Amino acid sequence: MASNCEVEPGAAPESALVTTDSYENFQQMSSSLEEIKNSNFTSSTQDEFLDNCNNIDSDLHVNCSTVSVSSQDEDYIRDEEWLGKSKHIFVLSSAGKPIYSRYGNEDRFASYFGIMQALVSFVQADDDSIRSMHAGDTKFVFLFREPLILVAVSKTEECTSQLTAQLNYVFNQIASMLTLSRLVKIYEQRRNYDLRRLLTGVERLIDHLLDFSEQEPAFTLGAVQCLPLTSSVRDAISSAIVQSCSKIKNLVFGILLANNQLITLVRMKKYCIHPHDLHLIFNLVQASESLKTAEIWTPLCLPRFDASGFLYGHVSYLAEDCQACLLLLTVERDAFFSLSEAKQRIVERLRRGNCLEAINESLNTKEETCVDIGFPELRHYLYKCKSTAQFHQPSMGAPYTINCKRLLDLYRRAHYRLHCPTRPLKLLFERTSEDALLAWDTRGFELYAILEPLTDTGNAIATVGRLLNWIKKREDKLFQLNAPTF
Amino acid sequence: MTTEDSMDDDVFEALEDNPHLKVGEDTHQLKNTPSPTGYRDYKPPAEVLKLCESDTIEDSNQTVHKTILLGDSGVGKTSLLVKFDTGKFQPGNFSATVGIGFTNKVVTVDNSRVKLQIWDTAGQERFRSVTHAYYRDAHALLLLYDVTNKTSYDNIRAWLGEIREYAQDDVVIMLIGNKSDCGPDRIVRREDGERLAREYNVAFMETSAKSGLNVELAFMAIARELKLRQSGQKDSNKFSVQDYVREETQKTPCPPCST
Amino acid sequence: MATRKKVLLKVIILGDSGVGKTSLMNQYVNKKFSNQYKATIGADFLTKEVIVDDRIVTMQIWDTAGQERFQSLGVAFYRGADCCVLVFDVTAPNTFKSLDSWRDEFLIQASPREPENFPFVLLGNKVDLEPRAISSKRAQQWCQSKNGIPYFETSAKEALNVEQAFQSIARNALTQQNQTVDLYNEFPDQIKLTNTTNRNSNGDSCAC
Repeated sequence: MASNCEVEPGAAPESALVTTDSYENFQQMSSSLEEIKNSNFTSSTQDEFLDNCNNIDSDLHVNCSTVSVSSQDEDYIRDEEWLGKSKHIFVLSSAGKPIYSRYGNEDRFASYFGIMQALVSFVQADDDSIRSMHAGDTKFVFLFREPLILVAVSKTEECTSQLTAQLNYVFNQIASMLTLSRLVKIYEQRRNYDLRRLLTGVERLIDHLLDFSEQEPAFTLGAVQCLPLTSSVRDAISSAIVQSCSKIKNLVFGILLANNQLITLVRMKKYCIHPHDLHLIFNLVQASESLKTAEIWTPLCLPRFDASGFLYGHVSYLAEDCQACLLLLTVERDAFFSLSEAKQRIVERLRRGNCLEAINESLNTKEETCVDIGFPELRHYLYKCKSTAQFHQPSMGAPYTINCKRLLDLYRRAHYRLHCPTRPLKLLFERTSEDALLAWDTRGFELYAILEPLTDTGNAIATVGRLLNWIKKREDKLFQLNAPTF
Repeated sequence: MTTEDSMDDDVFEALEDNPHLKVGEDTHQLKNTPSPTGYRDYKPPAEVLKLCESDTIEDSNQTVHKTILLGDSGVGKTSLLVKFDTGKFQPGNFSATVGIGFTNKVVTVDNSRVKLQIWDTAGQERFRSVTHAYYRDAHALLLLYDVTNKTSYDNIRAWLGEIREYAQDDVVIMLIGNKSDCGPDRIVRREDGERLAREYNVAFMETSAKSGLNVELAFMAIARELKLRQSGQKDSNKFSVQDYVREETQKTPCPPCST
Repeated sequence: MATRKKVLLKVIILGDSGVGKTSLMNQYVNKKFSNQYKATIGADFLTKEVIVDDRIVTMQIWDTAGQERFQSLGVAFYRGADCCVLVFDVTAPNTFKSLDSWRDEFLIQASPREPENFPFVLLGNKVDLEPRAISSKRAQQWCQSKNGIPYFETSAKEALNVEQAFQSIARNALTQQNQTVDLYNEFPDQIKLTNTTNRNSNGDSCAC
């Protein structure tokens, strides 16, 4: 089943994004982080691990029969709505101090946090680390990343590694606000520290990140989507940024995004940005209405880039008539004014080059569905070009306009099957009465296609082949194919 | 209360219609003018150009008066500034400021123009290292608390401590009790704010970014004070922010509750 | 500035078995606004909301449950404690003699940054019983020698002084919380770009 394309669509000789497999070791961060000891995350595979979990159970009786509960916690324990949430996320310090709860006020789960810390500590005492527990349809997934403990309690279909990935995002979100080095040092100084005082307002970002990561295939794929623009427009935008910033030293990244899609990314030579860091940036922009009120100057740590320090970001929307958000990230603390002037120059150039209109036009154009582009048997797809860590998807068509959760579940499951550490598949074709799914992992790309349920293998493959050609023809519009530098 | 909108409009109209305004020739200055707010920036180039040019009239050495908004997270610093800058109130739960925000605003005091460079800071502790860097150059500080939030009031002393540590000794300070439209939710009495202000010898007023009460006045009083100081006319006998505020404050502590 | 969140205070209660640690906790906690989790993983804890200086805090009191296994949990359980409560039995001299080793054990395991300033509270329990072996004066002398640890004589059985003792414990624990960390001067956060070539050069883009 070879596609006709010589090079996979979207591939480019250079990428501004660090390329990823989504299930790479999440513990691995930038060099400055390596000094930080991580927990003994053994490399036991998922399946082995699940077996192990059942054994842990016998050792680890939290004797609930003697739990007598009263007072404030009772509200939640009896609260159907709270109990009915499909996924809880908790963050606590390694001393067991509450930091975050996705639902309900974390103040009120003192006992739960105590138990979570006890469980983690108990396993840790044997130089081991607890990864998950399984009780009926509920998974308890633990992530211990010094100095924090993160816990997911989930009834969703996501597997342990996907939940762990989500917890890692939460951790990185926290690190991005403080830097990891600071986070570690704070607890070195004060083990009993109440971190919440430094995270005022970050709860919102975490809330948003969790929702965002559950709705966005970008997170599953470890990639970003580009705003469709002709390559001449995209190049003009990139060069407007490059030219306007030519005299500014130590500018590391220039990022222009709109509507959760990347318009362009300009970088300092030799430096790339990791898609996970970019996701945190997207999250920050989307969750912060206040960015629209003024030019903002803010410290921001990109944990995958360098978890030990802050970049400083000049963040602003281009213009009232063009709601694209520009971030200029530097290592200089005091570069606000020079970046502010650079931004002015960028906007002037973009306006003169009619780029603002082009961006608006793309933003206002409803993306095509599969039917629109001439693939009636195809319902939806995700195409990820690995070398550039970018992906493309069409607009949701029927029947997923109503139930896009099902679609995302299908993708997550298929993604797991292709990346499962024990037995990763290269090609997967599944049919149910509702839909057919073809997932294909090659060296250059990943493709997930959802087709009509009656599609047979041959037709599915033929469709996918045609689709690849279709994407290839439009690659310069759908992807950023170069990696411009300052 | 009905005057609030017209008050806000005054600034803009004064700008446009001020007979003293001439188109300057120093267009070069445009490049060096730090960007005003995102919103201002949104105007078409020609207009932007005109605005910026007119900024440079009168005296090319016109100083920029740096003003910082301070106070706990959630007291309404951004709302106050947005109301002053655009006349609009952002309803609902507005997201917290990230880092510091930057806005340029030109106001007219006694027929001459005063340029305020206003820094809106995030109240959160973790941004303190960034915001401290801007204290030193500040000419004026608007220190806010929320009259419905006792903690934000209690923290004013700590804020004043930081100000003493990081800001210039002669910085103009104005204490502001915001959200005065709150009606029965009020926890901090007006007298409490007045007492605290007296204790530290700073000006005081209550404002409402929602209704617009005293918003204009707060910034105008600062602008007036800064202008007088700059022109060397500053003589404590002639003008004091405290007195000015006292005279001009709209004493409407309890506006009609709108539901 | 300060958080309006409810602070969680982690309190560790230590002392020989039989001195009445569990009874003290139960006496204190098992009124309204209390709850108890009993875990067989080596330690029990109870939580209770208390008001200290107009501030509501949650006190979480960890007990060894008299189990030897607790020793193996060491560091993790002591970690991040806000206050350590030492308990002895005023009628049993040996329980008083062990206080030093309990205190040392705590300081080793928890290794607080400033051991000499870490808040301890000493409780002499069972004052309702006779004959008394450790005088109040002797206990106080010991406290004095340890940098002025507050001392309370209690009877869990008769609810004597228990409330007051735990109030003091909570207040002492809170002093730890109120200290701030100097975030700005101690932690440089500037990224140096020069030493960072080849950053992030890994990936699966390799086409070999």
